[in-house]
Amino acid sequence: MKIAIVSTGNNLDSEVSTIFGRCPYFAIVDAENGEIQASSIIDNPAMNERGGAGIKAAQLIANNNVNVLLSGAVGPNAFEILKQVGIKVYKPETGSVKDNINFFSDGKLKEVTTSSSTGAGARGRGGMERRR
Amino acid sequence: MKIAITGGKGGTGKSTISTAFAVELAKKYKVMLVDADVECPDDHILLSIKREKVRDVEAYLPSFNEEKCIKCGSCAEVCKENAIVIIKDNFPFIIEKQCNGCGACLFTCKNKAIDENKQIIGSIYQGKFENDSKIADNFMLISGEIEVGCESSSPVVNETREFASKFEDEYDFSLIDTAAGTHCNVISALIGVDLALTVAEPTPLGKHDLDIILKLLKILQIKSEIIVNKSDIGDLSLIHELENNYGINVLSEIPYTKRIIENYSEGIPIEHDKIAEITKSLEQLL
Repeated sequence: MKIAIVSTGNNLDSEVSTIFGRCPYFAIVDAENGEIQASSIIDNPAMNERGGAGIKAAQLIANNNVNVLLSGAVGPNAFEILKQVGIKVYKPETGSVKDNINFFSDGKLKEVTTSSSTGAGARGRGGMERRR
Repeated sequence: MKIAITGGKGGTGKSTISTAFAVELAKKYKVMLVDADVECPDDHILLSIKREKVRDVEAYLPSFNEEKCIKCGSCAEVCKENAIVIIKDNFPFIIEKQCNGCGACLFTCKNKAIDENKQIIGSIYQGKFENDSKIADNFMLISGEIEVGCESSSPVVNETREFASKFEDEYDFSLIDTAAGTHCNVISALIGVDLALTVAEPTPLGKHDLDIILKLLKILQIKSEIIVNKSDIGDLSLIHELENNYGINVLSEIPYTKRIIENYSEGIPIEHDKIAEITKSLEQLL
């Protein structure tokens, strides 16, 4: 199973991020029953987007053939994209990326079934920029 | 004569003062008030006017022709708003509310697989001031309003002003009530005006935001004046500190008056000696 995790740093011991669209890194981990078989870290190109960061990040996740995303605060547009391609979202707990892979395989993480009204990274309407 | 009423900070009294000027000037002149605060247009509320919708504001929206599309992704790549989503092996799709109608995708698609569709991003309204027969014939309100959830307010402002420009020759004064802030929608409301009246409030944040709008007006090379509202609350010297920086004097100071607030809350245009005094000075500009 391929799991994407929002991360604050570029390795599996980094803390998970609290935001989705503008988180600095995504860890992409191939894991079976908590056993990590392969992993990679990708820079989030949407981090500094003017607007629509969540949409861009969701596309990136979808294009990586991920089955599950561990992230809180996924905005409505991004959530819709993930839903359309059948990627389930689970809310991570405080801790490292690695910790959360274990939490997930132990069934400790809750599935997120609705989007947050606006992504946590969005500052007011339209993310970084308010009015255009 | 096109005059913008702006100010940077929200809640300083831009709309209250715009409507007051409009009514005062309409006693003698033909006045068009353009409500360019398209996210919260409420000049009609302040004047107890019933607006009527004249037309929709439309913007370009891409529509993907799946017979011609080769899923190359170049449309999504050029979309600065990230409104186009393309996921491996799938056709692109559009997140409508995110699209600002720029047309970059249409331009970039080599296979001509994008058709021009439209979406409604706002509406334009018109209103007459019928509560006072002496003014009714002299006054017209034009107000723009963006669709809830739409991201781009600037095109709605532009189209509202374009609509208003058709009547400009018939009116002595066009007053343009702008939104707060200094963003594109405010710039769109300011472009081409003869004068900008900045409505400020004598507080530290009032000074800060006035400073920013005056900077913008300087860049736009628009002649500006300062009107201090609620001038007897806070510290007036804060605003006077900015006078030297920009070489402009405070045109007028309108004190905090209970009657103004009462009228404001009842949808009655406010009247005040200072308003009459300022409109007199505006008459000199004709």
